[in-house]
Amino acid sequence: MVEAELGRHPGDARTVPARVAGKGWLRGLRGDGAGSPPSASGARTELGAAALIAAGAALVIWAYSMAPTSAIKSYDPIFWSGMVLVYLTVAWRALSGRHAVLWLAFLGLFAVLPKFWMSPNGPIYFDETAHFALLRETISTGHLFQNTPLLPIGKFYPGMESVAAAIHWLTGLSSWQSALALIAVVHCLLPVQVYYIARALPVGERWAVVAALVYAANPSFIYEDVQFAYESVAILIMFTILRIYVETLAAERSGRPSWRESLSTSVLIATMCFACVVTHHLTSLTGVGLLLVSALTIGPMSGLLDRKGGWRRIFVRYSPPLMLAGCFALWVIFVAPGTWPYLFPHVSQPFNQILKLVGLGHGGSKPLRALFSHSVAPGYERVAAIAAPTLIALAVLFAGIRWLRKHRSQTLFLWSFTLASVYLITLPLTLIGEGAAGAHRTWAATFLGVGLLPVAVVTLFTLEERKPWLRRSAATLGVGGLVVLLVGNVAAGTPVDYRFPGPYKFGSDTRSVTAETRRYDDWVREHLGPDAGVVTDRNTALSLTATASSITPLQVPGLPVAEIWYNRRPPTPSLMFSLQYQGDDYLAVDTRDSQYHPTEAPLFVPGEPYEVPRRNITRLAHWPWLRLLYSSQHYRLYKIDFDRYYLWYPFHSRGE
Amino acid sequence: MPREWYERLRATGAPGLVAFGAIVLVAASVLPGPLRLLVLPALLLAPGYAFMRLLGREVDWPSIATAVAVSIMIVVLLSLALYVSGIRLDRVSLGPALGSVTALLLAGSYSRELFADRRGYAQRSDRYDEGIVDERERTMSR
Repeated sequence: MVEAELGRHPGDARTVPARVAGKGWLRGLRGDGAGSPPSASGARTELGAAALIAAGAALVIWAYSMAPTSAIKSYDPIFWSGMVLVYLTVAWRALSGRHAVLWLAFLGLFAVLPKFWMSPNGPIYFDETAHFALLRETISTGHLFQNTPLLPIGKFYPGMESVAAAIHWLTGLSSWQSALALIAVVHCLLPVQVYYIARALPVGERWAVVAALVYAANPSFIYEDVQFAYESVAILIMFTILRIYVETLAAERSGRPSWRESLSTSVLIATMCFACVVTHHLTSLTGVGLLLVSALTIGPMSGLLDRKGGWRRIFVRYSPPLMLAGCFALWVIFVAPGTWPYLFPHVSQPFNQILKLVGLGHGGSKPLRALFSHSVAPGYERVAAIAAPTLIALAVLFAGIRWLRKHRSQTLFLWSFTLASVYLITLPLTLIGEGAAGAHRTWAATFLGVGLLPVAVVTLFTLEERKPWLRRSAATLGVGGLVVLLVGNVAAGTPVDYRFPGPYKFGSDTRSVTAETRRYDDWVREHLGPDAGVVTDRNTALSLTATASSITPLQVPGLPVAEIWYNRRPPTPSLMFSLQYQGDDYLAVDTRDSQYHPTEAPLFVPGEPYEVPRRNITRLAHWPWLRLLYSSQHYRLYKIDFDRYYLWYPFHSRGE
Repeated sequence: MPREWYERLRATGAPGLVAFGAIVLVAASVLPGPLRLLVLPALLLAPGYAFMRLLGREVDWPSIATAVAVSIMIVVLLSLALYVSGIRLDRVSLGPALGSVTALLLAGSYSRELFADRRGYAQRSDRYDEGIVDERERTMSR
């Protein structure tokens, strides 16, 4: 049952709610009248749980040790056995033990393990490689707003790099260890903040734990939000803003704080909003939406939109979303004007593709992506990937209808339904080529609403007052639902090669690095040094940036590097002048570019030709203005002689 | 009495740890190798707790997650401020700056409490005086 909650604002130093006296919050569940008698939670029980978790971790590590040389059908079940064992053990201890918050924090920390085992020694994903390059530049120069061609927009959002650099400077940890430490700390606090957000809504302690557990099964929790990328840190800041906000509204329900208290809270929220904006653009935008939904749906409400609550209440309710929106607008206008052209295509292109789907658009290729195309995910993962959103949709549908018919006065669930509905609406965007990335970025926020669906279903259908066999069946279904969500969301949200190491795969961010690649990167680092400007394709750029600290420009408007690979004619003087001006003195080629076609990300730019003509690779050896520096089975590295090119080009501009 | 001991420790422990954290941050650049690991919890907790205390917020176990996020915010803002000031970011500039800011915030929180206590005492004195005047008036009116 939903319980009455805080008697006063939890931040009020003058009073401590009776329910929260002393260690109540830390213990979590016991003694709050939630209904169930406390189970034995002595040292032996905790040790047993620790043993189960150790077994789960061992299974996960065993799966990762098998992955490089085995078929997915042999290690994937072991991986999921380990993950499910840990999740259910944490759920058991958090729901029936004494230290719910600590167990939730541990779950957040454990969720870092799979990604860590993918790449313990350095970055491996595209985004985290770019951010690690920014971190390295920040550390070496001592200045913020560094640039990397892999992620130009990252220059204007230096929040995460500033914190990781501070950890490196002050603790003496290496730059990668500092990055890992920051992400580990941030990620372990995510389910904790979800717990406290739910508690302040208000939701009973047990259901707050369930909300945190369900959130920990969201598509981004295990792989996306544990990478060293600005979103990972910004989410914690945004959740903290939301927690302070809902706790402030909770204080409004239980009393009338003074203007002084409201203003001090606003100062805290304002500074956090600014930090969120400086860290990540999309999380800030999502945060504006989240705070707006909260302002419009979370009580107490006096009159429409709380207009009868008084000026102080209106200020408390509506200032946070306005502050976050204002900070974001000011940052984009004065510091990061490139944000809007960066983000807008991620909105306009899916919108155009939707129009094409319904027959209102024109031109372009077929926009739909096939579900699990080119994927080797096992059948049970694909079934779970479809079952997970189906379960969520059914829960929203039935609980929503029940709420509309009988319990409309319980506005608590309106917040949950709204966010869960937004989550469901964004799901079809994953079928649209240009919509998948944007949809993914919103799930870390909208899945908060999905976390409250269990309490909504139980409360609205009064399941806790039903017969014991029905309650047990519902609990069992709930556990099964959590497992389906966990497996299905990860399967749908993260491709297999982002989850497990494996054999070489052309075009893969994580599986295109071989021993030959590492020797090549080491040679470049040793002979060209850091910050060497190397023109190359996306995958080679990734490894050179991560390992050799090279500067690898990617194709952008005004810098059409792809024409070196695709055009029949030699590169134009305008391109070469741009490369010379930027100091990109080297050209790196992977001969496999002409043998394979990437299935995930393009070599240079979306819409590029299907294949690189082989003659375009072999002709490089005959151009006198390219001097071969390094050659291996698949890699070639050339030094560009720009002066010789300008003399050569007028006589060879028509191609050969 | 254990409970009394715990409550006394709770009342003084958190600010004491924040002060210790501020000192650790200032001295981070000169701490020997293994001791520098102490800097991480100081970095992630002390500034945030000091700021929350300054704003009059409850500083207890449930606040740890919020304190870490607030500490991250303070590091971000301070780094920005140093960058805008043209100061190169490194352990020599950032450690003392963070430690000083933490100490200032902590001192500010004590000042705020002192000011609040004095104002509360003044208000209680005024009410007491009014009560004496009322009593005198009532006595005189009989």
